[in-house]
Amino acid sequence: MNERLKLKKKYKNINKMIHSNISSNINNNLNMLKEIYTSNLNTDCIFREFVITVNNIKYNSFIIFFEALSDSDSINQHIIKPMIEKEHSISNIDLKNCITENIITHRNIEETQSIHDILLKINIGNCALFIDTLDICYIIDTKKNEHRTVSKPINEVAIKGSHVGFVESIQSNVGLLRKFINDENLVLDKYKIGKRSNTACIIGYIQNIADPLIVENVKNKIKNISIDYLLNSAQLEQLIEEHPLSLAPEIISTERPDKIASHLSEGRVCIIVDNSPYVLIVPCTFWDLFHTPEDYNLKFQHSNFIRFIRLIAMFCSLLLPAIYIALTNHHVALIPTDLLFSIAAIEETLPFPLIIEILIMELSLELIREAGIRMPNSIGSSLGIVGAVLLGQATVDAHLVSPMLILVVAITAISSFATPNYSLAFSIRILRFLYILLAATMGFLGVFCGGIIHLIILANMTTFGIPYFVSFDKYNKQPFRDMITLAPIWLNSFRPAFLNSLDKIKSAKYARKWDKKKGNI
Amino acid sequence: MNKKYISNFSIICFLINFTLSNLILSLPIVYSKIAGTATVFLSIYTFILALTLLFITSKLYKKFYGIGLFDICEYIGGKVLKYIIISFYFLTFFLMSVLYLREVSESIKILLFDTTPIIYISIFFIVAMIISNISGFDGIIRLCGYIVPISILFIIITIVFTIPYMGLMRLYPIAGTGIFEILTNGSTQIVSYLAFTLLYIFVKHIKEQKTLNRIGFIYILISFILITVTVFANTSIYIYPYNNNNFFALYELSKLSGLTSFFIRSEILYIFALLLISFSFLISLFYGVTYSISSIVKTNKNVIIYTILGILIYIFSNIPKNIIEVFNYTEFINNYLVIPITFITPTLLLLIANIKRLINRSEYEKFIACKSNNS
Repeated sequence: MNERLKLKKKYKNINKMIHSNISSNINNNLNMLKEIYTSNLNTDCIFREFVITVNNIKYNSFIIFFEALSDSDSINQHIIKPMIEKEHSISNIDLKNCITENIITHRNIEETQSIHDILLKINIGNCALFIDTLDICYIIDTKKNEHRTVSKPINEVAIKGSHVGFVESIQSNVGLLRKFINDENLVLDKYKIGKRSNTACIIGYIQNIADPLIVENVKNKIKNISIDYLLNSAQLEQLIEEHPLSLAPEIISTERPDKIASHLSEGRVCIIVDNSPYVLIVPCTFWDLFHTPEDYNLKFQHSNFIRFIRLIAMFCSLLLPAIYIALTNHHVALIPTDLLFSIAAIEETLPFPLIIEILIMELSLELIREAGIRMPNSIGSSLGIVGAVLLGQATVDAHLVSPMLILVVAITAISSFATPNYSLAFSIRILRFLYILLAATMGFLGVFCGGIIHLIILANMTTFGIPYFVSFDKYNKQPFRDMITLAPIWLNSFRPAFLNSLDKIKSAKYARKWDKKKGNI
Repeated sequence: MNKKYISNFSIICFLINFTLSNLILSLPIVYSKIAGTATVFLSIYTFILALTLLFITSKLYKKFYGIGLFDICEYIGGKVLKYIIISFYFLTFFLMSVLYLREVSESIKILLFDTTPIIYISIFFIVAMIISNISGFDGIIRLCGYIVPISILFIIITIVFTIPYMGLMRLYPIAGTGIFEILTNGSTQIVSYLAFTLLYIFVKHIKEQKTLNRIGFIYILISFILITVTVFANTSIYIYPYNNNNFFALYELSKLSGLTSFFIRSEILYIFALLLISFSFLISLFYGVTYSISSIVKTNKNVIIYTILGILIYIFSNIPKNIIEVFNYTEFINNYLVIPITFITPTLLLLIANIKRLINRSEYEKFIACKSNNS
């Protein structure tokens, strides 16, 4: 207990130190930093002491940096070498300025007195230089830029689209975004989130397109997050969403810069978080979750076809097992007679009620899916095959479930993979069980009751001031241009109306000027 | 902060919802009973009546644009009149909810669950009504924007596929039960267009007077087309008076249509439309109930009040012994409460308000200024 009290007292003292300024006595500074960084234990925290001579006066100095985060070559070449290599004799200039102007050759130097600022900079890979008699510290940018090189997006593959994905480095992601947008009106506003982690976070928008109210709303939320550590964008997503209890995703998360560029050009706002390859887009409506970057790269007929398929897939994934139960348990009169006879003949030989059969199959499917994700890649695929053979063939042979049900569950599983948004697919998987229970209770009446309540809840949601389940006429000035269906790019001349963009028109009425001359449109 | 308006599309769908709810159940049979083979004429007649009423009310309302009907009551007769009118609206919506809940539950019992007790079926509707109204009006109206077009599509598909069965000879005698009968008894069927008077209650959500008139006109026009097409199909396919037995006229039509050999059980479309419309209509009616009560009682305990009201509707809906009793009550309520409250009262109130405006201009200006400051 005594030990705990001692430790508490120690950390209280350290906290006091952090919020103070540095002193002009170098030993005080050195001891303080050694205590803060627990230098006897933290071996990667380097304290390098040396002496510099300026105008024949010797000054004790030291630098502090993290070996793993800082670029050693840069420190050696631009800081240590010029300082200790020779004696410096400079006239008409004080020591403070002499360091930055005549000795250190590195391009990026800042001066600060606050210990808190110094620690923040050291923690992200900068090097801090302390010189005796000076009550300031020099922060030199020596960050090591080690990160995964820009590569293909892993989870959002597009055939005709760009093959570039975001990485874990915020600088690289900003660069990618600037390259894609290429507009001087793109604003990338930097913030820090996390009292301890100080994670860099950038809010991006095109200032003469995005609605200032939405931008302000996002900034407000980011500024008012009080958390110790923010590790990635997924955590931020949960922190800023307006309906945390809702199953439906309210924010789009993507690893594709082209998708971000497309959304920013419509007047939305993106949030880039350091150390995260996923960038967030707000506000997002229900229908945006069905759109993929690929849609805009294909001919509009092809895009409409795949959007239609995706809608059917979502419908099947959510409701197919429930409809099957409703029809076979409650509304047999609605099944065509031939089909009814074949279903009845099979069901007669099975021991369990249909609801049990379907729950067994659905739970087994979820089990295979979860196991497949956790398994190493090489084993994962074989697990799928084993699962399919084991669950499909064996259960039918053992007369536990009907082949018709296997077909229904298989179509449901395939459909759930066709949902483009991972979070949406997840919510559908959970809701499917609810619909199955409702269908088992009261057939179509139960399904419709659940569906209506579900839709009303979605329709009542707003994200960043925008209705989540936006109505047809609010989606676009020209409805159906880019909501469920997609119009040809040359006819899609308005930004979504609900975004209330400062510039509502995104292309001329006649985007293909030659058509205007011919009067073809 | 900008004022929050509802999109015109959603509000039109919200209003059409009221027409569809009748159309999908007993409206064709009621038309047929009144007009015989002249259902189309009855439909045209009610359409003209509704348009005339819209024209009159919109003219009377011109000087009060942006002020809800309840506030106009306050202008005429102070808080007392306001509360009396709200109470009548509350009673109308409440009784309509009770009777429609029972009617739709009975219909679903007949069509889908013949062995299930009616009290069990009603629970599903009541739960949806309470939860939806707790969620809020925005969601209800946006939901109508999706449900109504889908339901209209189902109805149109059903009717299109019955075209081969239609015979114009079944429309004879062309005057049906007689011109006098149609003009007198038929006038009560203006109740099919009752929803447009709700515009004067929810007016704060509509941008301008011009939009209000346009919404009212579009609503009446679409409702007229839907009613005419349905009653025409019913009368031209089933010979009079046999078609008077078709309680679910659209259901019979959907069974008949068959949608060719590819879709054998085409009546499923009717079932889906019935469920969609019933849910959205009951939710909208219940919104009328909760809106009226919240205009009188300002409280934060909405959840409790809505739940209590929902339970009361559920209990009252189980009082009628059978569906025939429900029809009798509905007819009584329509004639003695719904028509006076939804058509006669707004027109009279607007007329009195205009007279008062002409007599005392300074009071009118003060009232308008006060209301626009409040909004």
